[in-house]
Formats: sequence, structure tokens, C-alpha cells
Amino acid sequence: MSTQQQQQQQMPPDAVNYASRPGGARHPSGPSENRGGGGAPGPRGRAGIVTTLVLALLLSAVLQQVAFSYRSAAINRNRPEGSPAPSRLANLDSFSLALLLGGLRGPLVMFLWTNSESQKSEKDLESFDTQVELIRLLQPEFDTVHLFQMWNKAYNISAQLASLSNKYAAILDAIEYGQRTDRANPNDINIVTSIGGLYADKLGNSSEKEYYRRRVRTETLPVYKVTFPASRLTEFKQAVKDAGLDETRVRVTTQGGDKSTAILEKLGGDRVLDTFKGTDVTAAAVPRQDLRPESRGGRRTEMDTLLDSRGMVLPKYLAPTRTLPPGVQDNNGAELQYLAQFQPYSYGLSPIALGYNYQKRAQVLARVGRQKHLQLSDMVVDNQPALTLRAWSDEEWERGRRFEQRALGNTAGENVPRELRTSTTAPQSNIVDRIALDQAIFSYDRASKVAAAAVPEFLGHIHLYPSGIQNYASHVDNAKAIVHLTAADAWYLQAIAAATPEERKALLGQAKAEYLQAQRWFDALVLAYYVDDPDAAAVGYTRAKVPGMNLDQLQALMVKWNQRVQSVYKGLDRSPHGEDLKEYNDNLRRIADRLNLIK
Amino acid sequence: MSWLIAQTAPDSVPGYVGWIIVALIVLLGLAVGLSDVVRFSPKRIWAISSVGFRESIRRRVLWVTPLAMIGIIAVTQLAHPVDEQDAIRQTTKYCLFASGIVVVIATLILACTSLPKEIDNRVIYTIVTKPATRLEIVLGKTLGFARTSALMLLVMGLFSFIYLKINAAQLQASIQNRLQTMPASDPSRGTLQHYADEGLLQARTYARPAALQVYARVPRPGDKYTWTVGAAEQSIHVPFALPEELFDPNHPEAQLVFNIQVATDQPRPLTRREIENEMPDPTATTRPSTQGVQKWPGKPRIAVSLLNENANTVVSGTQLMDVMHLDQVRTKDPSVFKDAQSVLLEGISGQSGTGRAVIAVPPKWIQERLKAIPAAADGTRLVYLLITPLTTGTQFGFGADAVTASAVMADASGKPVPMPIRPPAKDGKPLEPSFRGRLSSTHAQQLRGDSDRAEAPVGVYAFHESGLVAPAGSDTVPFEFRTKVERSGEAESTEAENVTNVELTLFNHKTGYTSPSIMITPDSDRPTFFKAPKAGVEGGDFDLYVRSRTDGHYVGLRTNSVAVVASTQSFAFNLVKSLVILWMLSVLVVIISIFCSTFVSWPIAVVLTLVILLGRWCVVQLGDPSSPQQMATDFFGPSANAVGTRVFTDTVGALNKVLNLTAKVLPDVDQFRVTEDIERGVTITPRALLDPLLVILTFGLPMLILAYVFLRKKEVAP
Repeated sequence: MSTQQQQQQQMPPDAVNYASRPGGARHPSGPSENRGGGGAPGPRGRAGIVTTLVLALLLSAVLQQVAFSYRSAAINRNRPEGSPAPSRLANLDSFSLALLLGGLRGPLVMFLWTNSESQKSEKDLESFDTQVELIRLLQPEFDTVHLFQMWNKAYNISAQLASLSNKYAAILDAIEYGQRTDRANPNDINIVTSIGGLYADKLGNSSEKEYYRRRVRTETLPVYKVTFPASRLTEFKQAVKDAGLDETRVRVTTQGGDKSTAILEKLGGDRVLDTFKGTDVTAAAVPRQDLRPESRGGRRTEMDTLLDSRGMVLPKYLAPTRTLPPGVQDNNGAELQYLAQFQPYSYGLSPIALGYNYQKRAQVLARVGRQKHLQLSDMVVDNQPALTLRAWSDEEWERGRRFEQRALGNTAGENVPRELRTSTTAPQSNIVDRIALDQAIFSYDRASKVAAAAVPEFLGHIHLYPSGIQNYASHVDNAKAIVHLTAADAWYLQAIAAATPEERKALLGQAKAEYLQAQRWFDALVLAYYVDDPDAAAVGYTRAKVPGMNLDQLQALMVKWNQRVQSVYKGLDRSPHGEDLKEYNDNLRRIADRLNLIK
Repeated sequence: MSWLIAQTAPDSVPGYVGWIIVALIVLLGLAVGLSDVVRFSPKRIWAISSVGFRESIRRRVLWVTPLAMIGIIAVTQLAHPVDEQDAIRQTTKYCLFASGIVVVIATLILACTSLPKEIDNRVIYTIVTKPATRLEIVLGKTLGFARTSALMLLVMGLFSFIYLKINAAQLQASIQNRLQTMPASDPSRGTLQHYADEGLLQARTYARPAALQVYARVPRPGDKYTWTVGAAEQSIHVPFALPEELFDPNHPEAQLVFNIQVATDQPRPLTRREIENEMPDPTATTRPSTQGVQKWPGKPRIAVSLLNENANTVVSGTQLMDVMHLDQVRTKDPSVFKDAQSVLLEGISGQSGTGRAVIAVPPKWIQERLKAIPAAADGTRLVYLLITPLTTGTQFGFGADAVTASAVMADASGKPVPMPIRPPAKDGKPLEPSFRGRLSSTHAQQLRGDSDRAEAPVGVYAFHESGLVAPAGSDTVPFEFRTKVERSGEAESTEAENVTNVELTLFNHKTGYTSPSIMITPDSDRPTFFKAPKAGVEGGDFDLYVRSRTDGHYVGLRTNSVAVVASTQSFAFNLVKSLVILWMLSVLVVIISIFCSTFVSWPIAVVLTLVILLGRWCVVQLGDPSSPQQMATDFFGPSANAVGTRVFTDTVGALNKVLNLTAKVLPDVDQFRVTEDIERGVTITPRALLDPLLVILTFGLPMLILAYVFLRKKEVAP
């Protein structure tokens, strides 16, 4: 049927048919007109067309394959072999999304960006997270987007909140964002470094660090699910009170009238279970995520448990996803691969320790995987594990000092330098809080081990980047000093807790040896790095010779140097590098106090 | 050209011009088609509309709704809400947004293509050859597509309601689970409990306070003084209506003099915080005590300046004269005087604990600054005397006549004669002084936190809400509180949670009832919910006292920081109102589409309709940025070439004017906002329904008439 006939059929009966009038058609006539002018193609021409079509088909198949390989390589560039990206709607790559959204991905992303940023500036955060999540899904391969959003949540958004718990939740949200991105596109140096930075710098070292560190340590440990007869509820509450816990923070439910169940944080729970015992009391350590109710609304407000009741990292976080040949140093795909060496974590994981794990993974991605960070230089990526280990060691050291004070009932305040608050505590002192003493010993021991681990890290970095030797050599010597000082403190506290005088004597001997080593390293630090050449010459040594000197030689030089400080500079405060020297002076005074007590 | 536009285009178009244009179009419509108006038949309109409606259904327009539903469900799954209420809020937004988009796009395409296609395929012949007028065709088509959009909205509305109900039920179950596993002292428990008690699908009418004042202590009836805190934490704004005579050019010597009389109370030595924060005060004294040497506050001082109605400084403290201490100036230069930045209050003989200051405005600033303030109809100019108590550890009491003002002018003999100045009146009552807290960077009044209740400043919200209806069967009334918390260096950063504790108390003016203290722990820019006893709000005339009770935590208050639920409504009804607004939007789209399709082809009509619909919004976005001068500074820097800057500012200014004038003749689709209220659980007011109706009447009706006129003049059939 021709178009003309179709039109006639569609027309209402009373309509005038212009097309039927001679020369009256409004539109050019239909296909009956011969517009082409040529006849049908001949057999030769047809063969040519067929050949061209077949060739075009083959060529397009080849090109499609090349393009597909290129795209797959781009998307899965860091994914281990044999582990393809999970096939989910949320994991669609930007190529597919652009097609799916009919080319509107760009405008949509632009709208979401401007909207989320204006909401942020107006401090209207109610649908902010959703917009950020949609941006993440729409721009899955844009690392700069992820870097910005992680920073945005952890720093800009958390700063807009006043409550520490909400700030903490915002930072966890940033970390979770990073981990979601890491799952979709694993082993990306940008994302892994950012996660490490959020743990180590934001949770481990911001102005609210005391609160964050406590939360992370507590939450990485499991909780106790304690079941006991309902008739012992009053007794249980008393035990909670006696353990110094806030009763309102302990959740108790009574089911069926005869059994009560309480959920206790592990560290506090240990104290409660010391006194609240019996055959009818059962306590099971459970990961907190197992008790968390399913929730469609609401962001995470706490971390997942990462450790078991003995402080060992849960197996799923250490399970490798790829087998490495013996002797090969590389990431094995385990989430917390680099924390295995420091187990157990009896008092929870420090956020700085978690940061170290990710910084180390990033370092290996740079060293072995040859990945480049978008915003940080290779040298910065490489030095982070060593610096984070130092920060972790410092944190454990500071934590040890706090618990030592608590354990010995020492009430010295902020006006006394930290190193001197407990320095004159005699080995025969009474222990006020035994659990705190154990924590202090653990922290000193951990500080020593972590500082020891930092030394090869620094040396490895200096080896690759020798230009930083001046800076990192002092870090190495400092770490060595800490290794001995904190080890000495651990022995000393063990001596205080010793059961017999003989045992105490032996332990004090260990402490003395470590204190002497620490003294040597701190003396060397001062003389090698914090005395200027003219002063060193005046005292009678050259800084290059310091590493080869023994303790007696160093001690003799220190006496001369201190005399010069008094005679020339009229005090430590006025001397060059006074602030640093004051810090080391406190360390040396502590060592001297302890050595005097051991005598 | 830009200069020409800048000079000739009016800065603003009077509101009545729009009405005149509407009237002219109506008259034009009547002139062209009076006969059609006379022949007007609703029956024929309905018949034509039914054809359009059936045609739309036949074109399977409803098939687009399941797609929208799938889209809503998919996007909801990707949402990342802050909490359960936010989840519902976002789902509501998606539902209404999708409904709006689907209906607008469908009606836009249907209405734009209808007439051109009918003309093209000559189906129009079947209509125009019938005894139907062109007016009936236009109205019939509009009604037909309006019926189609109503049906689509009904489907989407039903889906939205059911989907939201299911979501709310699931989220409620989740809330119950979380509450069961959450410790009693968890900071977020209160909010969750509120969601559990009140439900997530709400439609509430909130009552806001009439005023907010910040004091040192709560003023009681019969109190001689109203007390404020020193250390520049609070201030008092005293209004005055300056008479026209003060600015008489024949009295260039006229002076303005303020007499200030303040009670002072220094009951205790300075605290550690105050000593650390205080600027050195030579008049502060020390006394030995059992706890060592105590430092006591110095002599009471105040700072004074003059503000205009918008709280901007008109005459600063450096320009005002501290009359009682002029002798402290050692120079003989008459232009140098003791200013009012730190005025020492001089004791009044026989009145212990009371100080006095006299502040004068020099004639120069009266003529140069105060005269520049726009005068009211009676010639008076409104100013506020801002008094800021400065001395730390001191409370300042202001009585009923604490501040008086007089204009001092010379009489015929040249003798200065004082003329008292009265406070301005509003609704026949003199304006009262207002007591305010120091403004934060976000312009909220700061309330310092103090764990000692007696030392904690108090914010007083005054409610006068006669229509307040407490929920039946409940002894409590829900409130919502939103603030900005700032922590000072004094706020400790320890392992502890250290939440911001805010204490709230209700005082009912009608019954004299004072509620027990209610403690909440708000966070910045997040709503915190609490319930207060019904007895505290009965009658609607009550005060809410707010105190921050955590040391070093400053709570920022605005007048709208707190709201009480005045009445509630069913969510379903609120949803219906939203859908009605959406339907009105679709009617507007239909009208504009039909109008455009009467004179251009359908693809152009689609684009033109979108341009008309979105034009005003785009124009506002373009014309909204800062002034041309500011833009020039941003682009070229402050030291740019003057001629180039002038060309730029003139051009941008002219463009702004043209854009603003254009915006005046385009429909204001902002009036069709549907998601804002419903997603926040706020009742949609009748006004919110009336505003879009007004747009349809003022813009849609003339467009409809023009569409009729164009169609009437168009040859669609031989």
C-alpha cells in the first residue's frame, strides 16, 4: 500500500483530499516516484557490497575485542588475577553507566557535585551522604573524586559536628567509603594511602585523638555476652559498679524471667568477670558486628571487631587472597596483612597501627607494583610506614606512662613533665591498680617492639631515597633510644610486681641494662644532632665521631656540654634547639632517676 | 548599548504592571472571540477533553509510571541516609520528584504534539467542522491533558503512599531493634526514641517563638532590673525614634545625648577561666582568701555604639563622646575627645551598686550618618543604642528607664534646650529594648555553657501561640530544637564523650506553671527532639528557658532554633496536597504547551515550553550573583583599570536589568515546590496551595486566551 493510499485511509470521510487534485499535493509524492535515477545494482556490484560488509563486520569484531580488552585492563588494573569484579548494579563502570544513562551521566554528576557542595556550605547534611554515594557510583574510576570525598567527610563534614561520637561516625563513614571503593577497585595506591591516613592521622593524631583512640581500641576488641540467673542481677550490677564502669552503658535484658543477658565491652568486662563468677555465669566473646541489628537507615556509629578475645587478629582479616612465592615481599591480599607480626593486641588495636597496615600496603604497591600516587610523591608514600610506626610507638609509650601513673596511684599533673611524673617511683612501691600495671607493661613492651620495627623501615627508606639521610638518620637513632627506654620501663614495672626479692633483683638487672643502653642512645642523639658544630668543637668532639663512642665517653662529653649550656647560653631554654633538648633532657633525667633507684 | 540599556531600563517593574497586562490580554480575548464566549458549552468541552484523554491512554502514556516506580525503588536502594528519618525523607523526595518529572514530561509531549499532529494529519478537520468553537477546542484539550496528568498522579500517588508505608514499617522495626540493643546513655537514644514514639510519616504544623532574648538570669515579674552578663558576652539594644527636628539644617549645632543608668553586681572573685580570658584591667583588685589570693573584677565598664534597623553600625564607639570623662583627654584639640569604646560607669551618690554614663553624638555624625538613615512617614529615624557590658565577672542590670535620650538644640536666644526623645511605637505600644547574646560567625546568639546553673546565661524564647493544640491522650507536647554548638579551648578533649548538655525549662504565663528541667544533648545543625509537659504550653502563652550546662560549650541560638508541634495532620492528606500542587504544575505545562503548539511545530513547541517554564529560574540564577562591582573586583582585582571596570560593570548591570525584566514576564515555577515541607514532616499550608493557583490565574489564564486567539486566527482547515 502506498503512502498516498495510507493517508487516504486515515483521512476522515469529510476531509478534502488535496493530494488527489492535479498538482495540488502539499508534500512530494511517495516512493512510486523514481528519485534515484539508476537501475538495480548488477551481480558484480552486489558481490562487492557483500565483501565490504563481511570485511567491515570482521574489522569491527577485532576493534571491539581490542577496545574491550583495553577497557577491562583499565577497570581491573589493580585487581589480582582470577578475581573478577563482582557483578552488581553498584559496580557498573563509568563506560556502562554513561550508556545506561543515555549520556546524562555527566550532567547528573555535575548536578550532584554542586548540590552536595552547596549543602555542605549550608550545613544541611541530611541527604549529603546519599549524594556523595551517588557521585561515587557514577564516577567509580575517578580516584581524585574518591580522595576528595574521603577527605571531605573525614575533615570538612566531621568538623561541622560538635558531638565527638558524631565526628567519629563521620570519620568512620569516610573510611567505609574508602573500603567500599577498595572492594570495587582493589589495590589502588591512592585509596589505600588515604585509608591509612584517615586511621593514622585523623583518628590517631587529631586534636580529639584521646577519644578516637579509646573508641578504636575498645571497638576492635570483641564484646562479652554474659548470661547469668536473673536472681543475680543485683550482684551483677554491683560488680559492674565496683569495676568502675558506667552502669548506664551496660545493656542488660532479662528473657523469660529466669535468665539475664548483659553485653559488656571486653576490657571493662574482664574486670567485672574477675569478681562476678560462678558455674551459672557464662561469658562468650562475640564480634560486635554479630550483635548489630540489621538497619536500613542510619550510618555506622562504631567499628567492626577485628580481634578475638586473646587479641589475635580475626582469621578472615589475615587470610591471603593470593599465594606469594617464598622470599617475595608483596601484598598477599589480606586486609590486615602487616599487623600479624605484632600480635597479640590484648588491649585493642591502635588507630595508628591500622594506619601503618594500610601505609605499608601502599608502600609495597609503589615499590613492587610500581604504582604512582596522584597527589603524593613516591618518597612520601615510601616514608609513611616508618613514620607511622614511630607515631604508633610514641602512642604506646604515652599510654604506658598514663597507665603507670594510674597503677601506682601517682597524681602528678600536667605541670610536671610526663617523663618525670613516675621517674622516682621506687621498685618496692605499692601497686594501686594491678590491671593498669599490666596494661602499662604491655604498652611499654609494644612501644619497644614497634620502635624496633621502625628502624629497618627507616633504613630501607634511606636506602631508596638517600637524600633524606640527614633527617631519617636522627629518626633511626631516636627509635633505637625508645626501644631501650620503653623496654627498661617494662622490666622496671615487672620488678615492682615481682613476687619475690630475687625475682625483683633479676628484673631490675634487666631494666638497668636497658636504661644504660637508652642513656647511650639519648646522649648520642643530643651530641650528634642537637649541638651545633662550633659548640661541639668547644666541648671537644666532632659530630661524625659520636656513633663510635661508648657510654663513658658520651657521658663525659654530656657533662661538658651541660656546663657550656649554663656558661654560654645561661640555660637550656636559651640554647639553640632548646625545645628538643628539653625533651631529651627529661628522658635522660628519668633514666638517671631510675638508675639511682636500681642502685 | 549597555549604557543605553542601563539608562533607559527601569530598575524594577511595579507589581500592578503585570495585572494590567493580564487585563489587556483578557480584553483582547473578549474582543476577538466574544461570540465564542457566548456560545460556550461545558458539555462540548468535556467531550473534546474526553477525546484527548482517551487518545493519551491509547498512546499508552500510563506505561511510563511503572518505569518511574522502578527508578524510585532503585535509587532508594542506593541512598545512604544519616538515620531512619532521613531515609524516609529521601524516599519521599524521590517519590515526588519522580512523579513530577513523569507527569511534566508526559503532559509536555502530549500537549505539544497534539494540535500540530492533528493539523498535520488533518484529524483536526473532524473537530473544526463540528459546531465546536476554537475556545472550546483549547479548553477541551487543556482539560483532557489535565485529566490525563491527574490519572498519572493518582497512580504515582498511590504507589508513593504504599511504598512509603512499607518503608516506614521496615524502618520502625529497625529502630525498635536498635533501641533494644542500645545502652541507656547512648547520645542518639533520645532521637531514636522520638522516631519510635512519633512515627516516621508525619505531617505537623510547627509554632515558632515570637522572640528570643538572652539574659544573665531569668527576669521575673516585679524585678526592678533585667540582668545581662559582662565580658562582651551579651548586649542590650534600645530603640529610639529620632525626631525630624534633630536634622534641621537651621540647627547644625544639635546634639544627641544618651543617659545610661545601670545597676551592677560583682558577687564573686574571677574564676580561672575568666582570669585567663580577661584583658588586663588596671582596676581589678586582689584579696587574700583561704584559697590563696583571689582576683576580683575591675570597675564596671560598657561599650556604646549606634545601629540602624538592620543592626549595622551607623555611629561607632570611636565616634561617640563619653561626656563624663572628657577631662581625661590631655590635648586641647577640640576634635579629640574620650570615645565610648570603654566607658567607665561612675557611681551615683546615695545609690550603691549603680553606675551612670552620658554619651553624646557629635553634630558632625548626626548630619553625616544619622541623617542618611531613611526616615519613616512621620519624619522620624529609627536607631538602636547598643550597650555592651565589658567587665568580666560582673552582671549589669537595666531598669525600665535605664536609658533615656534627648536632643539638645539651641533656642532663639542660643541657649541649649534638651528635648526628650521617645522610643518608637509599634501597634500602639512602645518598642521594648532587646537583650541579645554575642553573635557567632554564623549569626547565632551565643549562650556560654557553665556547669554551675547560677552562672549559666539563659536564652528565653517567648511563645504566643493561641492555636496550640496539644495531642489528645498525651501529657506531653513534642518540641524540636536545632542549634550550632561551638567548643572553646576550655572544653576538654579527653577520652570521655563530653557531650553538650542543654537544659530546658518551660514557664506558662497563664497558669504560672514551671516545668521540671529537661536535659538534651544536641549536636550542630541536627534536630534534637524532646517532649515537655502539656501544662507548660496550655494556653499558648509560655516561655522556654535554654541554658548550656557544659563548660566551654557555646550553644548558638536563633529565633527559629526551637519549634513546638502546634497540630498534626494525616500524612496521606499532606501527600494529596503535594500531588495537587504537582497537578497544578502539570496544568500550567499543558497550557504553555498548547499555547506554543498553536504557532510553531511540535519539536519547537517542546523547546519553547521548556524555555518559558525554566526561563525565570535561569534568569534568577544568572542575575543572582553579587553586584557588578563585586564581580569586577573578583575578576580583575581591586586595582584594575578604571575604564575597563566601568565598561564591565555597566554591561553586566545592563544585562542584569534585562534579565530581571525578562523574569517578570515568565511564570514563577518556584511556587510549585512540593517536596520541601512534606519531606520534613511539615504540614503543607493552604498558602502553599494558593500560590501556584495564583500563577495559573495570572500566567496560565492569559496564555490560554492567547492560545485561543492564535488558534482562531490560524487556518487549520479550508
